[in-house]
Amino acid sequence: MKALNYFLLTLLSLILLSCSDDFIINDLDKPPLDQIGNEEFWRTPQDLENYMLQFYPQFFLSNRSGIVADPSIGSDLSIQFSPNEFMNGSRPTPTSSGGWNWDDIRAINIFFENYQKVDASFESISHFVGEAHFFKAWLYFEKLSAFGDVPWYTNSLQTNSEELFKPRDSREVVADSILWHLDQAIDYLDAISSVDGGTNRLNKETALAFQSRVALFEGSWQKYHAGTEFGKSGVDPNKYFAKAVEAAEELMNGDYRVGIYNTGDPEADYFNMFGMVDYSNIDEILLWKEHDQSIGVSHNALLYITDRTNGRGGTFSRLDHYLDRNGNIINYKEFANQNRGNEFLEKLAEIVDPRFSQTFYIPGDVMYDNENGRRVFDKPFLNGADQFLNRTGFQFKKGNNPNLRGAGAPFGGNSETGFIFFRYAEVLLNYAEAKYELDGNVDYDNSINLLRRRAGMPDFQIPEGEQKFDYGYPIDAELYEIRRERTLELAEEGFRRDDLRRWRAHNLFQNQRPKGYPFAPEEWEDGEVLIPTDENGFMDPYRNDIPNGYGFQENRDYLNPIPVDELTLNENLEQNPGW
Amino acid sequence: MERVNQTYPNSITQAEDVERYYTGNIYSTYLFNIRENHKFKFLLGYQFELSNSQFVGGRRFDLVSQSTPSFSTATGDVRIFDSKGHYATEGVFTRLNYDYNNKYLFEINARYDGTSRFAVGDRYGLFPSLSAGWNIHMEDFWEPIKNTVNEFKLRASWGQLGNHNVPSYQDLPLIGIQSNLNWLIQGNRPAFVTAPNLTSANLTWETAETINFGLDIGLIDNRLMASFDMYERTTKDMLGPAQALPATLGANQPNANNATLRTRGWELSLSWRNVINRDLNYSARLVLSDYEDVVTDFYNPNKSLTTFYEGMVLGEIWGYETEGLFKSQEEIENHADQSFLFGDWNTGDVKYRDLNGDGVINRGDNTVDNPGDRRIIGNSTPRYQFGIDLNLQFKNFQFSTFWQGTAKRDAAVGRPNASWYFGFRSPVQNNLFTNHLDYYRDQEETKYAGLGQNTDAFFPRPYQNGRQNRKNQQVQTRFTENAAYIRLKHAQIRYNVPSNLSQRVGITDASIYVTGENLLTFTSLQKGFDPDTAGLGQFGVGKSHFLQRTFALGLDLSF
Repeated sequence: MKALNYFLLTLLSLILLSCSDDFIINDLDKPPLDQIGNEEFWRTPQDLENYMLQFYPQFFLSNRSGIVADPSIGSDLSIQFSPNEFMNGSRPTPTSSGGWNWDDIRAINIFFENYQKVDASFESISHFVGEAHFFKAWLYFEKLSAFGDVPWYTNSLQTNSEELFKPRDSREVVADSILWHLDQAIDYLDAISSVDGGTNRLNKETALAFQSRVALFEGSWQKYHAGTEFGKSGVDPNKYFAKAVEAAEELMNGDYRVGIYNTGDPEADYFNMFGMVDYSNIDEILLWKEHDQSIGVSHNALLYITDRTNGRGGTFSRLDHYLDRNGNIINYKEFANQNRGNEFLEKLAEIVDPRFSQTFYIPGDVMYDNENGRRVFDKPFLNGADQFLNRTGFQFKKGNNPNLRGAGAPFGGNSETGFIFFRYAEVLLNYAEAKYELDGNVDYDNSINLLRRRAGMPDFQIPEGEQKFDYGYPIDAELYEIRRERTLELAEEGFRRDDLRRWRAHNLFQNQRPKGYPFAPEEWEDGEVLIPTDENGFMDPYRNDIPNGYGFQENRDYLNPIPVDELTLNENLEQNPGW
Repeated sequence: MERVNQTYPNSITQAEDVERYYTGNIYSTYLFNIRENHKFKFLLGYQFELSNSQFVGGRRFDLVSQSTPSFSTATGDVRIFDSKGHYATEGVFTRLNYDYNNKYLFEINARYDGTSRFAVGDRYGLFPSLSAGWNIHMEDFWEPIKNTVNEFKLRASWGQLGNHNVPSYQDLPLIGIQSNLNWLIQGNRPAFVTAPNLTSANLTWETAETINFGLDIGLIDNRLMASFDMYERTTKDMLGPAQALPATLGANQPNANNATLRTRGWELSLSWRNVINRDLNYSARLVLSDYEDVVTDFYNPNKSLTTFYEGMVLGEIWGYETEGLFKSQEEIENHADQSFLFGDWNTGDVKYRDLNGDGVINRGDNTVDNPGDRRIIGNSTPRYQFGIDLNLQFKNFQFSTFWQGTAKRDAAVGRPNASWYFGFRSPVQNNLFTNHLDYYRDQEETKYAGLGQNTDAFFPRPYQNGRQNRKNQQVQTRFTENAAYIRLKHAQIRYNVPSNLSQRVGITDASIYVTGENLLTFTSLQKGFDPDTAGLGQFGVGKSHFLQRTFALGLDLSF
């Protein structure tokens, strides 16, 4: 019976131990040791600052990554490898993702739900609150631009939130909310002169510039899509044009650190401005990303301008945006009949707006001249393969700086030029266009003429001669000129796709193939160039890919499709027209 | 650990990882008999675990000399990092065994377990189990056939087991703290924090309830042994995948006890041993098993195919049915509209069958009820897995082999961007092998003369544009392969040196052997894929380490 006694003793002690819900021997409360709970956060202004920093990489995650964006997102003025799916109407409907990602909007909403817990004066946190308003606007503008109507969320959601299943809000509500958030951002953000981090940090000037961009986008969208499946009845475009003008004029009134980079060298200033490592003292640049290879933040952009093309090339139709040096229209078809190949580029460079030869390589240009050696551009890379191939003869040099280490350097993130996200020139062009749309009374001397003077061009005037571009609807000669000026000044900076969309300008490229320069066979060995040419001897790179031209469908392709799964999961969502 | 980076700028990293793990298991057993034949065994115990772990490390850049790496001999930036964690469990358990004359066997078990991974209130779980066995061959009425059927046992059991294998702190919203933002402020990369995660209220134990019936038979002096088990396991409160919620949620869903899974399976084991005489004996053993998992409860009212749904068989592969490759422009124009997948279609592209006859190839609503033109085209769960052991001893030689395999399995190895399968992907990361040259070409290649036309190709027309390539690489019948296989996993030939010989040189036993691993594999999978790892791969389908074929020559000596 001794064994039974021991056993009963053990039993008794175990019963005693387990009397409480938590046993006595082992403590099962094990809170995290190296992580901070949401309740312990949101105490100091520093917490808010650290939280807002996470959103800065948004700028280059979006399509507006500066100098290499246009043909990859869609442009009638440049091409990349194969025909762009947006331009060609060949985008598939995604099953999931497809831009319908809401993580960052949730993260911003969490900021708004928590920032008032910080025990500090509003002055000490106002800049961070301004950043939050800006990023909410930025993130929602991406959604508005891509999808039109989208559900507007003020609060972060839980897995059981009914709002998960809400329908889309009208784009008017969304656009007005974005502009409201930008009003707050403008109020709360510090100006460049006082912000910690200078133009690498969001600032009041950038918020004003962005507001002019958003308002112009929405105003022209409502005006030119009116009466189509993409317009909204009862929306007054002028309320947006007026907002765009108001934001731009605020920046233009002399109270802000803004300007146009002009050292008095019209043959070089425009080009030089896109090849700098440090923009902190350039008044024109309002927001940019700094790079420093030694701490692991750098890129390969110069490689793609000096060693290879990344498949990029400009199109012949781009030329008609450039006037001659006296501000007159050039008949480029005729010019091409007399000059071909290198001669075409060289002779053109002498007579055309100097921004042409600061955007494209002209034979004789130095591509790089540094520790990697020296290379002179002798002719376009028409005989390259894949990433080395230029299919049109117009080879981009905008963004290069031949003296920097990244030019001519191999892969490995050797380029350190800054990425520009907002520059004052855009604001001036936004102003001119919005003001013309609003009342036709544009102050050119304080806007477009600043840009033309930098390039050594005569002041704004309406040239004599025929308009080359048919937007598919008639527009005034003055507005035509404003759009032309915008397009050439902002070449390859990521604006073209949105401009085509808000202007409803499919007539510029639908059922047309992008062409290149007039090919000069005598400059090449037989069989060296495999790119097709058309019956007039122009490079015709997509001749076999899209014999009937870009297949853009104007009743569908102006907005993106919502992923199939999302329509299933939320029956209150409706697909965009045509998809 | 200590590591020196060879890259520029070079650096030294040193880190220390310490885990203090305490565990205790206290139990007491009490055995007693009532009369002669009723044997009881009672057990009661307590068990606990406590783990404290800490990781501390540092890195310093710019070593003065790589031959003497240390923090002191480096001159550059210093970085430090750490992590800390802890968890604890405890539980009481008890067991009662009853045995009547070794004829009837019963067992009752119960565990009451707690874990720090769940919040107060959801922390403890009670997991009982019962089992019974009946040795029928011990019964008197079995006597007449006991010489033939030596053993005959029936078994049955029911039980619940708990699983708390989830990351800690799923119930707490935690702020993510990160360093080195990919954006410079005043020339530096600042630290930053990210949004708190979504949390799961009432996260608790996953409970697997199993019912099992078994039979053990021994025949002919136990030379032929057979054992068979059938079971059904229901995993309740399963920590299932994310529920079907709109992406507007804006965050990863936390683990939740949101599913019920039913597993039905069986297992058979057969073995035969025979000793012919002193010089010759042999044995063979076969193990064969199969199971199938079905989701019986999961909140997915639309039956969206993005996640679990009620009635789903785990491993099922939804895909298109392939009609072939387009041979002419006319064929494309007369076929259903495939523009859902891509805008442009050419000869050599895949022709998908219009299963629902609506004239359009698409995914419908991507639900079970409207999957568009997709259907279940296979299942990736390995079925009828087997292992075969064969042994033969003849005089001093021993031969043994072990085979293993799977009799039924499908692998959707041809899926979007599977460059290992298609060869072509996009401008980068192509993986071309000779079999990939069997792609569609309807004209003589100008640049690489010699390949010629190939309109009866297996692979579709390749494109430089990744998205355009993907239109032909949808999961579909043509590129879903049979992944059944049999493999000679292990083989050995051994020679035992006769002891009278070895003992002359003072060695008790000596043998010499040759062993091979992974010697033969029979499978119809495309070259370049291993049946064990097809469908896996960190860098895409099939991109994984293969099993190595190894040979070994050995000598065993004992003195």
